[in-house]
Amino acid sequence: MIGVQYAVTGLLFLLFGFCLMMLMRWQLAYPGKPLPFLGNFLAESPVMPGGIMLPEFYNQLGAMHGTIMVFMGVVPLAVGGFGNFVLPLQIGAPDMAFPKLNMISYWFYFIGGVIMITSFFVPGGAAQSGWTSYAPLSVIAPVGQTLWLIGMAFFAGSVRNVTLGLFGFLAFFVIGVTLIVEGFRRKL
Amino acid sequence: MFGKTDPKLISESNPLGLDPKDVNGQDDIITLNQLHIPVDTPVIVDLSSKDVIHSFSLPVMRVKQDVIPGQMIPVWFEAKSTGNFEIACAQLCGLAHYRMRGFLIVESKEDFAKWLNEQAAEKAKP
Repeated sequence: MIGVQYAVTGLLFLLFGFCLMMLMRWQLAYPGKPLPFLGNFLAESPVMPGGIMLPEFYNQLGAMHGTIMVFMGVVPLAVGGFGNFVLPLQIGAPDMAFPKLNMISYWFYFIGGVIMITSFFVPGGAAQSGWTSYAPLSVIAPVGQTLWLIGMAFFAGSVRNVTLGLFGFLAFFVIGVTLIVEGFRRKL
Repeated sequence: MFGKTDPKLISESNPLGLDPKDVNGQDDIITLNQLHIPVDTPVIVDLSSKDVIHSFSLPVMRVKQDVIPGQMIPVWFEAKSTGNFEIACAQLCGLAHYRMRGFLIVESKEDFAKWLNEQAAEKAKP
C-alpha cells in the first residue's frame, strides 16, 4: 500500500519535472519569445513578465528539474515504490516491517516535495544554483535555495527507507526466513 | 618571474589583483578574456576565482578544471596547431554563465615572440 503511495506520488512529481523541462526547451528553441498559451496566464508573474522567460527563471528551472526528477521522482519510484511493494513479495513476508515508521517516511517525502514546489512561489524564486547547489553560488542565492535545502532535509528523513530500510529489511528478512523454514518443515 | 597577486586587490583596472608594490609584477602582461600562447609549447595556467566556482574549459585542448575561490589550481596543456579557439566557463556561475567565454589564440613561436615584444613595448610606455 505504501509502495503504491510512493509510486503515485513519484509519478506526479515526475510529471511536474517534465513540465519544467518543457519550459526549458521552449527557451532553448525560441529564446526571448513569449510562451504561446500558458504565457497569457503567466504574463503577470514576476518570473515570466509578458510570457518571456527571465534568466533567473531559466536557472531555477534547471536546478529544480534536476532535483525533482531525481530526488522526488526516480528514487521514490525505484526505492519507495518498487522496494516497498516487491521486497516483501520476494521473500515471502506478509508486509514491510515497522509499518508506522514506514508511513512517516512516506509523509516526510511528501512534505519535502511540497516544500520544494512552494519554493517556486516565494519572492526570489526557487533554487537557482544547479541541482548540485555548489557553494558559494548557493550561499548568495535568495530564499528559495533555503527552502530547497529544507525540502532536501525532509527527503533525507524519508530515505530512512534506504537506510533504516536496511533494518526494516533485516526485520522481515527474519520473518521471511522463518516462513521459508516453516515451509520446508511442512514439506518434510 | 611573475608578480604577486592578491584577490583583495582585484578591481576594474586590476583584473588579476597584481600587487603594485611587487617589482616582479611591473613587466607582467595582462590581457582580458584572451589567452595568447605559442604552438608546440607546454603552457601552465594558474586558475583562481573571486566570487563563485567557475570552470576553465578549453574544449579543443581537452582541458577542464574547476576554479575555486580561495585556491590557486594549475592546469597545463600543449597546443599542436595554430588557430583561434574558445575558452568557455563550464560550471554554473549565475545569470551570466551562458556568456562567460574568452578566446584562445595559438600562434607560431615567431608570431608569439613578436606579440610579446609588442605588449612589452606597450607596457613600457609611461
